[in-house]
Amino acid sequence: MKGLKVERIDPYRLMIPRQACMRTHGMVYADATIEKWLYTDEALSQVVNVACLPGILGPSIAMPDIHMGYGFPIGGVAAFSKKDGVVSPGGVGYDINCGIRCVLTNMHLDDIVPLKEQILQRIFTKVPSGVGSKHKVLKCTDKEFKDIITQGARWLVKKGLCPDVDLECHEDFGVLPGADPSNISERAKLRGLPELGTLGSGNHFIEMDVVDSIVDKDVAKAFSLFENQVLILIHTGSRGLGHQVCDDYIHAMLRTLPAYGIDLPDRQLACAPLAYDDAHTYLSAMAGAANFAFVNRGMVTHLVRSAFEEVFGRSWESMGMYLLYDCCHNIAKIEEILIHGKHVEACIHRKGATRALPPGDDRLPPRFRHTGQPVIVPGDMGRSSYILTGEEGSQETFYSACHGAGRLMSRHKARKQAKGRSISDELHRKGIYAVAARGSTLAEEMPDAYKDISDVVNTISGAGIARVVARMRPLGMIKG
Amino acid sequence: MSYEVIEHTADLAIRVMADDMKILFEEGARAVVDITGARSDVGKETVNISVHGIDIDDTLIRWLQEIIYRINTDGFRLSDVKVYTLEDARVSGVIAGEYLFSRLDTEIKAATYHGLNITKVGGLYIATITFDT
Repeated sequence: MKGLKVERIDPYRLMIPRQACMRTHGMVYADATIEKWLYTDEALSQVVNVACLPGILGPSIAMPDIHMGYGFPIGGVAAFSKKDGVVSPGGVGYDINCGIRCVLTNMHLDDIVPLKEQILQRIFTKVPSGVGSKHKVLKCTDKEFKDIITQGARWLVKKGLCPDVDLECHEDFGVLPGADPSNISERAKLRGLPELGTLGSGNHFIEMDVVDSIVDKDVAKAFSLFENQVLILIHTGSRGLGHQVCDDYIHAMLRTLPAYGIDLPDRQLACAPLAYDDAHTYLSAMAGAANFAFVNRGMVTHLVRSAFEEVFGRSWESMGMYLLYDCCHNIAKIEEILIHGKHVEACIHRKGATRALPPGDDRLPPRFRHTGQPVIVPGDMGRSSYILTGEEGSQETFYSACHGAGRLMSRHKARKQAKGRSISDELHRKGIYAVAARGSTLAEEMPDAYKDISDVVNTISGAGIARVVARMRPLGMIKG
Repeated sequence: MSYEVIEHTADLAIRVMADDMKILFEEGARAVVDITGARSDVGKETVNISVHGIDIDDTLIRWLQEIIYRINTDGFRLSDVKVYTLEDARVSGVIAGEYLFSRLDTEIKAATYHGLNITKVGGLYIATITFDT
């Protein structure tokens, strides 16, 4: 963005002072390495645009994995006053509650290496993956659909597809309140239901990792993590249901903007005031889509567990395959935050960001109250991933941290750069076994297309938002 | 194919060109088909599509969204697209093809309003569209 003023405040923070239509300043978490990439696309101008929305509280924030999105930047976080602020479906995105979970195992690297490819292939045959993947077996009645929308992960427990003990290991215990199926269109239902229990495409994945470094021994122990432990990461969202809910409500809100006297720098930021029903109807539909996403990740987890059972010939419980945590990446929720030393309720938008509650926060279940919330930060296919925990400093980001490495390169450019290369072979030489629903996915998702996750994590930990508990490296993955 | 890909870090942006606004809408639909791979050689089924936007930009996005929905949800694969009328932010047209549910190359979740811009340069209409992929 030409002419944009950006000031460095400290080694981990850049401020965008109020300018143009901004109602508040921007705060971008970036060290010198991250900063080099900030000016290669329009992400900073998107931080500015978010700062122009009515009723924004505190700064328009961007995490170090910031990159250009549509409307909000990816890595964007913003809080809005319940009294005179807004909710923006585009600030959540089309893949509502796209998120990540980490499934623990009690297995060591040596237990898994000889069977790694067999396990991943078994998972690949069980979990429908790729563009428009649909479940051929699963049938869901209207009543079940309504239960999924309103009960989220609790529905899985009732169906015996998720252990009760896993519920508290979800953000918001796996169910957002206020979901009303009548606020979700028939179109959204038709689009989403056949995709329940599927991975999808793009950057969605199932990954097998090994813990290669424990940084915080006490917290790692509380998280049941140990060196050489095998973990499973699952990254997917609300599939077509979320896409359609977002589309339906952007469409509706664009039409009501003039009545509310809201003028926007970007139509993709279409929004409704939180003081009116329009906003709450969206939040209700969004909560339903978020609950659908919890169920989707839970069903994929169920299939992953059954793949392990088939390969090892014993129960998933005996392999300790319980949930460490499930985090939302794309969400808007009414949460309590600290503004100028006062606790207030606000509508927090996270678009490609993770909630990161610090130790002592009473929104955490007892098992995490003394450690802080597990924050799972996946890297690219060839480099590390991290498990962090929220710190006191996350107050300044409305209890939010980064969600991944952040793209550096468009998919188009990545495909061009990968021409003549076999990304699969390159990964294989590093001991990483990659399976993809289509060949071009590996090119689009190649490690060079992403920032180095370590730079992102260094910034977020240096700023005191979250600290590193453990580092993992990938053993293999399934890409949609 | 009258479109070109523009660099966009996370998603996919294109520039579509045509010498007539109705053709611009058709070319936008053809770009969606080309990107997703939702092609068919058989035009045995037709689906009428009519949308009403708040202005021409919104109408273009609604038109593309309808086609994306038919591809993703109904499994419709297109052999042809035709715009019959386009006036007062209303478009009516038809897509021909078949219900195939064939595997797609790329999933387009949505056509977004971000950076949407329809301009006329010389005699040429140019639209910049960003898709969430």
